[in-house]
Amino acid sequence: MGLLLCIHEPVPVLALSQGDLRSEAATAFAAVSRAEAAGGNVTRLVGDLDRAVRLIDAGGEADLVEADALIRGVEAAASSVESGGAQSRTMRYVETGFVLVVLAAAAALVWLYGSRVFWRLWIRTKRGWRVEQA
Amino acid sequence: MIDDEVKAAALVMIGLMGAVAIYPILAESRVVEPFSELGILGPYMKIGDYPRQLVVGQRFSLYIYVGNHEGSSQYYRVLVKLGDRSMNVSDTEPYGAPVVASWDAVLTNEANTTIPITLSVGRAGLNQRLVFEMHRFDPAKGEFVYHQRWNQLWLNVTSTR
Repeated sequence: MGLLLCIHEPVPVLALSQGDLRSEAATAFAAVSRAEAAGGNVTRLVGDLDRAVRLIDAGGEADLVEADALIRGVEAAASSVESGGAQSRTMRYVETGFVLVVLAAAAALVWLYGSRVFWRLWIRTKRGWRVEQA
Repeated sequence: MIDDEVKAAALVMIGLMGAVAIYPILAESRVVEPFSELGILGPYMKIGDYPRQLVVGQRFSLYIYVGNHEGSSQYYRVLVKLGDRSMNVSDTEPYGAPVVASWDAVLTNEANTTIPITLSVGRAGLNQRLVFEMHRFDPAKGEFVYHQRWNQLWLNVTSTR
């Protein structure tokens, strides 16, 4: 005979206060600031956080639950936005560095061979011309 | 002679291309004059028609305008304090009167918002001073700090009409 064991754990009651949520929002904003400083696009995170603080101000129970969910979402996403921002910033630096190296090489080539190439092209384009005495 | 001119023209063009390539990186975090905006608008969302005479408990509507030009996202808190002429409002220290209400807003750079608010005053008195103070969350300190911007409304509040 099988033994049926039922465990009744008390379900945690979600007690959200405006004060707690405001400090959570501040913590989330600090994470968003770090992500922005790292070069991440935080527009959506800031929008969600703004909506959350408005809901906290509204103060209804459903508002606070929704605000809590929004803040948790912002906190969860902030670190990936931060690392993505740092990555894209590094890529931008590398691309700019590459462009500058190419331009420096072009400048060196112009300096060394510019006139030779220019006159060669000039002669090629004017080779059909005939000079006549006026 | 012509050689030098051709060479110089080509090098100037290359230099311009280099400047165009590097400018976005140099200008990325440059903010010429960072500032924030705080404004109080009347019940018709305009500068004017502010309440002057009120009865105790009478509700009135205003709008808080907040703008961010700080160069980065900001978390603002506007505190509403009720005082009188005995205390001065300062650009450096927050007003000493008790906080009666507060509103928060989180804005990206170059964004603004207008928040509708409803207030009432719970005590009678002449020349009551309703001060709106802007505070800003400082992530380094981990707390809100007075951002040195404030507005005020003077109210005469009577106990009966």
